[in-house]
Amino acid sequence: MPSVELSTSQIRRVLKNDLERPVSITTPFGNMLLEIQGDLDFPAESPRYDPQRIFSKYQDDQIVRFGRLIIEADYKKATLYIGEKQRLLGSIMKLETPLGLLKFNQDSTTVELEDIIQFKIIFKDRPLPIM
Amino acid sequence: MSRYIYAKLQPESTRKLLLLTPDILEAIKSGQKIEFKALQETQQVVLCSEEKTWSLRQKNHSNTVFLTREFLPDADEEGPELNDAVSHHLGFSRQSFELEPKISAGEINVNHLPIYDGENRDLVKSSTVEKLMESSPCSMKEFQTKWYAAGGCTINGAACLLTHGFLSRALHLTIMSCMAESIDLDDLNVRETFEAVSKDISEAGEFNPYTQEVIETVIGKFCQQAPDGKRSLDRKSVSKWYGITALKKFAAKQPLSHEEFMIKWKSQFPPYFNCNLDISLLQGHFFRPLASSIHYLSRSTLPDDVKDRFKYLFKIQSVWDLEDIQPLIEDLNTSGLKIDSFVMKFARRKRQGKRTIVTSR
Repeated sequence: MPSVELSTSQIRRVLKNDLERPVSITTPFGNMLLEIQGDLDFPAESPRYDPQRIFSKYQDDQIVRFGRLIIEADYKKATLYIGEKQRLLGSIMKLETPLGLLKFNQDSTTVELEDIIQFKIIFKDRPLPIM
Repeated sequence: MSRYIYAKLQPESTRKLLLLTPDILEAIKSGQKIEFKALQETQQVVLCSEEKTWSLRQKNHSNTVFLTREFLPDADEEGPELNDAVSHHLGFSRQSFELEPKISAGEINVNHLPIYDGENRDLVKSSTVEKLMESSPCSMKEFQTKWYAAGGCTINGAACLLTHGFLSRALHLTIMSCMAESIDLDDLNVRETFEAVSKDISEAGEFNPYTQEVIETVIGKFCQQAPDGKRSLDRKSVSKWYGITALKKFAAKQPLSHEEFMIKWKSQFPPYFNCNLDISLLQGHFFRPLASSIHYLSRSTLPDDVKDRFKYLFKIQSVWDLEDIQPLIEDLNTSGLKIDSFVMKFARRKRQGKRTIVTSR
């Protein structure tokens, strides 16, 4: 500050066609937005005991495989299985106002508009048990 | 077929979501420069395109919002079941809010700029116009309008403000010179106008304060620009300027009858310059101690507190027309209420035929 330019060069390349494209859960940059009403708790570090082998590493980051998402063929409904005991029923929603994904780089004091997200998968209801 | 969802145990915090309203999207599409700006690091950040300014509000929520990106997990992670997956998505960032833009009026901070009256040639250079524009939470287009409206000018490379008196002299001279040179007041350009003014003022070697930059400020402040770039003298704004000057000159110490003031106002203009005199142009710069007289009112003397402001205004004039009082209070209506509703919070409002009367409670 006092002023930082928002870099839009990357997004402008796809913007023209992207806004008119049909339902697509992921953006051309591979991003997807998931919203769950409530909280998801993860440990801050991978536990030693991991019999299901859900914890791993990706590019030096510790990650956890927490769910399996199934999207119906008509791109309207989705189901998210969390672990082995819970499932969430959700829907695919077109956002009334698209969301811009901004990346703030503290070192170079730049801000980039990385992507524009038009759809989100929203899970509004309580989780259901898996019998 | 399944998509496997992963999450980073330590999510990134460098991403934020911004609601992209149609006008922001349009500005991005058209390749306009988009900037985050703030007056100072600790002050509120705004988003500016080349034409518009938006204030940003942090809209918090308590949901879990994951930004995920398609990725390929390391080979040793894959099993027969995982290989069946359509794709793998890694949640790299959790969002607890969205930035909501709201169109707002850009601001420029001219408080620290030196004042130029046409005589003090050694100005303290505190900023240039380019630097000021960069640091103002304001779009480029709004800056141009606000800069000239404030009487901003560049003198010897320094950004400064022209005094009311100097600007009045410069406007007067510009109109007279253009009329003398038969320059079309509905198609003014800086170069031609400056040459016309210089002809009238310059004696060999004599200091001429009416530089091209000063004329540019006069044209910027008192002209309207058509879409084709043609700049025509805005007679309403000229009339208002001369009206305020007349109020300050003749009605500051004691009230003046309405008729007498109109004569004084008319006498201020350059000879043979025609424009309409409409007292409503001066609303916000006068009060009426008696129904038939007017008195200059300096806005800078008004209290900043809303209750005190109303109290003061009713002290100097017990009954106001809504149109007369509105410009004197609207800066305090920060929550954007309808003016009628805002007035009713602090005063009494009555309809009298077509007029709306405001009195104290």
